Amino acid sequence: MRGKKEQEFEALWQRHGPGVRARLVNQRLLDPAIDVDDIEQEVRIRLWRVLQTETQVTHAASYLRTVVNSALIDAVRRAQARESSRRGGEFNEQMHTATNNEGLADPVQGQQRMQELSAAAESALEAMSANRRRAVSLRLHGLAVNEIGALCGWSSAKARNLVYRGLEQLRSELGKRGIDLES
Amino acid sequence: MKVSAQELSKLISRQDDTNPPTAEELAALVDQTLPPDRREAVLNHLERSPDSARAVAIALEPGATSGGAGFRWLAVAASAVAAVALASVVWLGGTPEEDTLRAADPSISPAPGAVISTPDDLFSWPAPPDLSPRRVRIMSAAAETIWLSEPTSPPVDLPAGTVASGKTYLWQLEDVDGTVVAGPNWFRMP
Repeated sequence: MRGKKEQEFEALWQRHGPGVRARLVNQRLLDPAIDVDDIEQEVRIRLWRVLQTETQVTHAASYLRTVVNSALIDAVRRAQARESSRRGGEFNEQMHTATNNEGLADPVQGQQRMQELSAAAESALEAMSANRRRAVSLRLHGLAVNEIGALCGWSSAKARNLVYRGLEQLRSELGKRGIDLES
Repeated sequence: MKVSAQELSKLISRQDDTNPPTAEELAALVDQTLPPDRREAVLNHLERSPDSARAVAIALEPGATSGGAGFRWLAVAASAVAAVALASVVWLGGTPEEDTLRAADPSISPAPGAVISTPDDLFSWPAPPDLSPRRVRIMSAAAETIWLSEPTSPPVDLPAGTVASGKTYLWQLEDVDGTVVAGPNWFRMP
């Protein structure tokens, strides 16, 4: 005979499992590194564990949404870790090629130039207000304007304003330092 | 020297955070349940960590219905090699609603989790401004396609015999090129 916890788990999963699956299938369209089956299993395990320690899961959908997000972030981070050394090599190679195009064939000179570029980018960002710096940094990392607003607690209009005014200022500050931000 | 947005993203990244956020903290940031002091530290971390920022963006994603997703996917997949135009893409996505697994467009039916009462219940969606046709794709719970409609306008009948009672299915809307414009959402057969 199945225990009460198993029945509770099955009832919760029957109700919310398809939604979890749909969410994961949806996210996989954005990032093929997401293994829907693996993450679904991870979510099931986490739900099962919490049922063992708590008498009742209130707001199950909210709880599962957080669990799904956490499992997704874990999965993306694992994929990033696998790729990081290769990506780092590609980036260094690309920047080295770019610095070579400036006539810096010496690897030491190229490395120094990269450090200078990094310092110049840092100082350009430091010249900006904290909010603009945050908005622009997150935009450079690939976040959409509304996502930036949602994370930072800003309205869409405020986020959009900070991003685009910030990008204008960044372009100007980088220009002063001899760097041309491609558009 | 010319620098792309992606190169700049890498140039400003730092890996010296002595207390990087856990996946649970990043998920709490997405859900807006992180305590204010830690929230500020996590946002500071995201400013300097492209990888963490992109991982959070994946969790924020409410649906595969916009151009912003494509921009992000380029950023993830092409890494530092491709130069990506930065200023031209604005994505007007939404935020997750309280106590739902993800936000859903209420004008699209059936709603996520709906129980289809009869086999000829209709799939419907708001007609796009250019009235371009859409395809409806029905998938099993394992995300295998079991039916794909011809390009059409709403509504669409669920063909008899396509689905079985007692089963759960996923469905999504696609344009004629196969790009997903809404969903996948799920529904149950009684």
